[in-house]
Amino acid sequence: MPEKVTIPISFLEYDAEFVRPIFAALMDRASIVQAIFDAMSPWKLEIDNVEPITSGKPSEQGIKFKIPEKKVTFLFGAGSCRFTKDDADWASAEETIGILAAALDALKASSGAAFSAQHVAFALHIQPKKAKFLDLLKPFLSPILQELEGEGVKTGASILKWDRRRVVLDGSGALANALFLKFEREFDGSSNLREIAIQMKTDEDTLFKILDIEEEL
Amino acid sequence: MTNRAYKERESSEDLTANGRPPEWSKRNGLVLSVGNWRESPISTSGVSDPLLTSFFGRCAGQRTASKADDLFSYDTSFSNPHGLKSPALSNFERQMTQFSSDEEVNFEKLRKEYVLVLRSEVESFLRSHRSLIDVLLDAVPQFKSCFGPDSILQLRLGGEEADAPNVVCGIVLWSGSLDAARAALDIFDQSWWMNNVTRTSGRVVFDYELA
Repeated sequence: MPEKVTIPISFLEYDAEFVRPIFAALMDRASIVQAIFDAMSPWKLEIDNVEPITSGKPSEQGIKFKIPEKKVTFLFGAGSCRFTKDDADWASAEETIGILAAALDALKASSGAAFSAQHVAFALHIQPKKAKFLDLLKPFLSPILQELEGEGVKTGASILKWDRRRVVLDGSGALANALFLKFEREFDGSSNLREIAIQMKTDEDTLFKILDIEEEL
Repeated sequence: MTNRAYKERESSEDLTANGRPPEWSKRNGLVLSVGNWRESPISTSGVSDPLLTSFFGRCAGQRTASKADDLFSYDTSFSNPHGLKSPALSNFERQMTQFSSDEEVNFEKLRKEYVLVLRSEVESFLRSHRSLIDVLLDAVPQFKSCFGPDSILQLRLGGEEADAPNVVCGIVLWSGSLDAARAALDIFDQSWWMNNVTRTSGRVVFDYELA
């Protein structure tokens, strides 16, 4: 029977890379900012939550929009854009997709940006209701390495990479008796957000099954 | 990751927005006025609350050894009738920022040591009873020495009325025998808890739960 878990901390990261840099997004960007602001305003985006990022390399600079009530941010620069959401969950997925789609559509229409690739990552801090996190983690740690010290390990991590996918399973550094699971995928620039969401949900379900856990609702 | 209920509390939003705990705003009218003082000193005649009038009056004329001296410095030679200097206010704000920052650090520690059942509710309760956080953190090594280093500790709210919790419960999830749990809790009580119970005003309960 799967172990019941809660997920007190979770976040979503979405990145899209442009086919070629859009320098208007760094310089003459008022019309782009206006378009994105208008598109995100139904979710109570306020002027004080729009800020220019002027530090770092040119590829890291841009304009950041924040909607604190929804715990989302959207940043665009000359080479890419990034969207984040804290406390991401599937119950609010429709709304999250709506906000992201509005921002991306406005960005594309106002700047002419085209995407070469999209990258999505979910990170979850998972707390078992009864079991010890290490009992859930241990089957995924190398038995040979676990024998190194002749005493039980305290924690450990597994990191697996494929060409377009990555999974990290670790002990949580933020919560007591918790696992940290991060799973990420790269998608084509043309993939739509619903397809992406369905794939990520499938990935999560598969990983939960492998870990033998079930979220308590 | 379905339907993750994460209720935002007004109090924590206040904390984030103001950079200071909401309890101060509610309890201490002084904080509400800080922004005004910086720009233009308030007239004491405009303060109707006798307590505040008394406080402002004291600030204006005297230097006392009260706790207020720790927060403000007065300059009686200053032409400002209230004698409040902006550096003092900035010091006060710095202290408040530091206070909030320290509190967040303590919450981070707490989350690393305890599994918080209904996290936002537990944290909201602890923000209203901040002195408990130190006790709960101090209890961790004692718990672990009595129940074992790998013990899982939980924090949950409790009380006689389910909809109005008034205590926070530190619970060890115990997978051993009942007798062993009782013995460990006795040691915990005798070696540490009896000497610290007065720090909590009856708002903390430590116990075990058979897992």
